[in-house]
Amino acid sequence: MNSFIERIIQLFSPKPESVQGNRTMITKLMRMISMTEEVEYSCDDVFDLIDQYTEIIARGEDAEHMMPLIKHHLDMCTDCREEYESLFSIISSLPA
Amino acid sequence: MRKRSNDEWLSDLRSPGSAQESALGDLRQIIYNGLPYSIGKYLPFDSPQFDSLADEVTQETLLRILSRLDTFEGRSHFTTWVHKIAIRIALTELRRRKWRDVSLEEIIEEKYLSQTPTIIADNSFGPDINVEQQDMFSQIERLIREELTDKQRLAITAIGIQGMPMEEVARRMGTSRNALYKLLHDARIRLKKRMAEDGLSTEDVLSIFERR
Repeated sequence: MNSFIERIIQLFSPKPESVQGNRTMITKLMRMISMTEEVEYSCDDVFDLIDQYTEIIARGEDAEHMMPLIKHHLDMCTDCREEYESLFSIISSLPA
Repeated sequence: MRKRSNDEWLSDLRSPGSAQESALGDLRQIIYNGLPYSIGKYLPFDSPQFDSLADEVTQETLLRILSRLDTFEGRSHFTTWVHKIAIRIALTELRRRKWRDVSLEEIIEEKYLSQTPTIIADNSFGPDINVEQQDMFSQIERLIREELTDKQRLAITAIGIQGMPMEEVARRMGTSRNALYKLLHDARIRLKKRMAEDGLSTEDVLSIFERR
């Protein structure tokens, strides 16, 4: 019983790391909200087009203007961003 | 290694026999050559696990390509399309391995949006800033509690604070990464509308929390 009560107290006690965690979460969330659009591509939409998008970028063309919804999604989704950056590294370093 | 056009890749891969074997062999090498660029930050090239993971990813990628040849629309080089698929397979596995010991329950227990949100006084800010931040935090926390579903709150916490990949949060919530993105998009839309109704701008909130 004592360990259970201690656990409850721990859950609701402010922790020093909560300061930075709260601040981090709020600032991240606010940035995401400020960038939110009514219409956004989903991860599947981006996956279908990311090869085309990445090649356009690698050629030095303005893919961000040509395909802004993809650019926007990459700004919002770290998973897709990571995959895009890997693909870009590959095609800009290796022959097709 | 023979250089092929998109049409040649498709034709060779669809022709059982030596043409297909040659194409698969070349693709195997192409995929393997690209993997250090995607898995390198998780697993160095000289790591003992690199080769076995690379083999696993390469094999899975080849199977997936053969089953989805009809979906290649020719908008990029065939090999770029192949690398895209290999990257997805590789990073999915690496994220799973990295986060396998972390449960959503742990994240819930450590969540920063607790029932009694408080911010410990940090004297470097001065007392007025702390009160302002605490008020704003309470306001945001109330908006989140009133506007979002339990699933949305959980997803925001896991991804926003703990930095868990979308894929891993989705797995634990029994959904897909795609569906989770849409869930979070809906959450952001709701919060954006509610903040506008309450006369609260994201810039105002950021200025309070970024003040140092």
